[in-house]
Order: sequence, then structure tokens, then C-alpha cells
Amino acid sequence: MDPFKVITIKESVFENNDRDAERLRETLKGEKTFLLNLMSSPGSGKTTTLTRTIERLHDDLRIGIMEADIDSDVDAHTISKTGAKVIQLHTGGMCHLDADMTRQGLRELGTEDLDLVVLENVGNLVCPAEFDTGAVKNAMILSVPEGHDKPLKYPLIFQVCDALIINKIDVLPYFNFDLDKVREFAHMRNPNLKIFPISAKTGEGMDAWCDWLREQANAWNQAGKQ
Amino acid sequence: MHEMPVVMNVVDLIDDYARKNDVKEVRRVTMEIGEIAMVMPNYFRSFWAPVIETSEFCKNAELDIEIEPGIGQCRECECDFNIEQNNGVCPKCGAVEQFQILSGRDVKILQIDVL
Repeated sequence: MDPFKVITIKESVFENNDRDAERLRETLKGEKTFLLNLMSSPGSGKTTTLTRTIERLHDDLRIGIMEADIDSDVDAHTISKTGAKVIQLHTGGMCHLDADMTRQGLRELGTEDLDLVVLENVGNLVCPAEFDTGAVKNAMILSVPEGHDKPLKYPLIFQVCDALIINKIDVLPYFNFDLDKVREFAHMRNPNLKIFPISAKTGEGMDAWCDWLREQANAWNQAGKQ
Repeated sequence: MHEMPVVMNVVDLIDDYARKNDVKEVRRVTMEIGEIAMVMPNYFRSFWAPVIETSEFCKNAELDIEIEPGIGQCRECECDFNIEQNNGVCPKCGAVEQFQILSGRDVKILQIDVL
């Protein structure tokens, strides 16, 4: 038998991504670009919410969007109508993005002249939550038809997010969705979660969400100047 | 699902290490997968052979997997317990999902046996 050497490594795969993500945040701070990671299930209204958000913020912030999907460029096409800079990432079948993939996407997008970049992550409540993308803040959308019990069933994504958008409040009368219950369940998972009930369709609640996002981006970019 | 990119990431990390440290060949890789790491050991194993086919140093590497227990500490009574075995419920005081995770969330490359 060939003599072989045993090398102890004890290298954590997730810590490796975590370190990568921290490095990306440092780069973004230096470039004065705020990156938001936006997650949700498919069909909750990420793209519509993003479109409406861009319309409200594009006078204050230079915005770029990275769309991540398994396939197709439907979302990038929709977003491009707002005039914002947008690229479509195809994940090659992967169900989430990590820091390395995000960095590659940002390079393609070109961030030197952008104040705010939103990564519209793959529609999935499970996997994206596990991987730090290097974003400054995480936000998620839960829509009324999905039900108010999701914070009980998918704890991690609610734990890692800074903001929770409850979309489609215009259809509250047609569903057994309890806004008080979803607040209670979400705050059980994460007491610091900021909650924004909105209807991307009617515009209700959009001001509060956009104000928060604008404040976060400005604070980050100001700090980058020092 | 996402075990494949995790396997690819692991093999990349090992190839990087091997390249920088004058390793000729990796014969065995010992992983530690946490019980609550969201990575299924059996799926991890099933992606090993196809992924190492294109590796520079790991083409013949065997895979060993150790499981790290997922232990939580109850926030109410400070009892340590196995999260999976107790379904997230503290066996001492019955508190539901009120625990801080102490271990079991990680995926680690523990050691590699090399030539």
C-alpha cells in the first residue's frame, strides 16, 4: 500500500461562503453600492413589487437589478421596461445563489455607477436562506394567498431577513389570511423583522417600503464615503 | 437539489489546497455533516463520484461522512438536547422551538488523506 499522509483541514464550507460574503460587502461599501437580496416563493409578486419600487425610487437612486432564475429571461424583460439596468442570471439548475455567484453577477452588471442593486433571488423559501449572498440586507415577500402560517413552516428565511413584505393585501377579503397572526408568527422567528403590508398592484403601503429601502441605501452609501 | 453545488464547492476547495501544498493525489476525504445542516448526507454521497471525475487531485478519492449531532440549548431552562430527536421540543420543560443552536449546522472538510 502506498504511504499516505493525513492532513487535518477542519474547513467549513458555509464559513467559506460567509467569509466570501463579508469580503463582497466590504467591496460594496467601498464602491458605495447597496445590495438587497430579495427572496420569496414563486408567484408572490417579486417582479411586480420590484417594478413598482423602481418607479418610485429611480429619481433618488441609480438602480440596477440582477434577475436569477433557472431559465428564461421573462423577469429581466419585464424589469427592463422601467429603464433600470438589468441582467438575467441563469443558475444552471441551482436553487439558490451564493456569494461567489453574486459577485460574478455584479461584475457583469457593472456597479460603479449604481447606488442600489437588487438581487431577485430564485423563487424558493428554503435554499436561498441558507447562503449569504454578500447582500447588505435581506428582504422577502410573502403574499396573502400563500397563507399566514409560513413563518411556522419555513423558519430560516424569516430568521435571516431584515424586512418582510406582505404583498397582495388587496385580496385580503378573499382569503383566510390573518395579518395579526402573520406578524405574531414572523416576530416569533425574528423579533427585529420590519413588516410592510403592501399591494404592488394598487400601490397601497408602497411608500413605507420604499422609504425604508431608500434610508437603508443612503445610510450604507454615506458610511462608504468615510 | 443543492447537494451537488456543495460537493462541487468541497472538491474545488480541496483541489485548491492540494495545488498550493504540493499534494500529488487525494485518496480519502473525511467530511463532517451537521444533522441540521440542510445538506443530506446520502445526496452528498450520490454526487461524489460524478463530481470527482473532473477533479484535478480527487479522481480516486474515497468519501467518509461523519455526522455532527444537532444540539440546541433551551432558552427557557438551559437544557441541552438533540433537536431532531426531540422535534425541536425541549424534553425537560416542553418549550417549543425556543432554543439556541449549539452545533449541527455546518458542513466541514475534516481531513484528507494524500500522496
